[in-house]
Amino acid sequence: MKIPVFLILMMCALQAHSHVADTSGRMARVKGGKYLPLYSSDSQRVMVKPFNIDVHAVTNADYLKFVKAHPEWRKSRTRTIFADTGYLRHWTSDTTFDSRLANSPVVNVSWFAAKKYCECMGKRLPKVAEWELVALANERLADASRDKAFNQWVLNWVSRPSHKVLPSVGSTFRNYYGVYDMHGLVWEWTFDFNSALTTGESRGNSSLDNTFFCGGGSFDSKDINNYAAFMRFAMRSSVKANYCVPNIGFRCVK
Amino acid sequence: MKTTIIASAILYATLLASCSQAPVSTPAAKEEVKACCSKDNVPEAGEVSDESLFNITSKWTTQQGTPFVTTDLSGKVTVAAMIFTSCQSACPRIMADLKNIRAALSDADRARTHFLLITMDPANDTPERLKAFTKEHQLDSMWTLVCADDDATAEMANVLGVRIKKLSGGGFDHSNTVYVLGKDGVIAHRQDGLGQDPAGTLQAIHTQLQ
Repeated sequence: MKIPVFLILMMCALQAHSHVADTSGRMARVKGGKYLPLYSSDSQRVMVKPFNIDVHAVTNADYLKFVKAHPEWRKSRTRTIFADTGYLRHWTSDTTFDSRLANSPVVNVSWFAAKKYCECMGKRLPKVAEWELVALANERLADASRDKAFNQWVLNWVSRPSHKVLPSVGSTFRNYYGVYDMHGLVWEWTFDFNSALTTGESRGNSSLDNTFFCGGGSFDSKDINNYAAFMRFAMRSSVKANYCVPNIGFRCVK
Repeated sequence: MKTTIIASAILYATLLASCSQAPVSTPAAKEEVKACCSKDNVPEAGEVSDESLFNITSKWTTQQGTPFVTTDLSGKVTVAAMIFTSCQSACPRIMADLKNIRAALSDADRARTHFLLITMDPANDTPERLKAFTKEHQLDSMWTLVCADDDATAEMANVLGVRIKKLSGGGFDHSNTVYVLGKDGVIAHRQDGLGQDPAGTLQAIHTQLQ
């Protein structure tokens, strides 16, 4: 009787230990706030409740642990309905990749894969509103949307071609919340990315989305300085959930 | 002491039973975590087509309150669409489109063609609400209406490629597409937009029924 109990306690201890030792799962607290979606009026501000967000994007090393525990997400096993043929294309096999990439954000992962990863970590993908709220912060301010230099810096990044070899997570700046790389490294999946409607497929009476391609549309926005936000909106509206893209990674929230 | 030990054991068992644990590196625990997170019965490779909706393992509930999984459609030809029942503008039109498709089928095809309505509004569309909707629209037993949680709903929308934007005043903006699913759960045809000529859809249904 004593032995199994001891074992149980020891497994608890090991589990607790490994949890603490694993810094890749570190999260930062975001107190919440109000987020104004693009093409919305003030009355349409979204209330964001407090949440925790991963300090870093999920890395190749993190993702390797996941596919080892979940063989159905190895690249030889995934189904195209959930991940297109680009899935983990930068990996050399089901469980190997260039060791220089271990701490770089995992990319070439679909929304389905990212969602499943977060789910299995006891987390979830951030909503657009949550992600964008954190992305408003620069090093000093929770909301740096009026900071011209910051906006220009972000815009410079989105205007540059992607890196040949993705830098490690943490290689850009640590923002107000203690979160790294919201800009400057990769685009990131959000739970409700598919709420970005830009084509005539939305209902006729929805004026906001159909104006997206109209030049005047940008003047309707409350946030005309934030061109990078428009680019993220366009990115979200142009991808499908099984797309695996070399510059889209993800992080989780809780 | 004994209470503490039992409590610890129970606590540990509870941790294993939930899917909320991060994978851990201890070999003993690894299998447990894997078992816990692989609660979905993922089909083995080759069991179903790569493109089939039968790869979706989420759990749904019908208007009758009975469980539903996508493989329940196996061997059937199904016309599917995402809707929400409180919809004022587009949904009545998509319902009209679906009814027109059904009416235009030959008697033989109609008798074997199933209709699946998937709600995009799980907060409001309970099984009871879905049942009331079947009465309002006089939908017979060939129609199945299903709801699930937010996660499963988002996954389904993304498999189908439906874009959904929740509006702050209630309701949704969404794409309007009617899907024809073959007996293997693969999308055989899609009719995009409202009020389209259903000829292509009718032909696809007929072909899939062969």
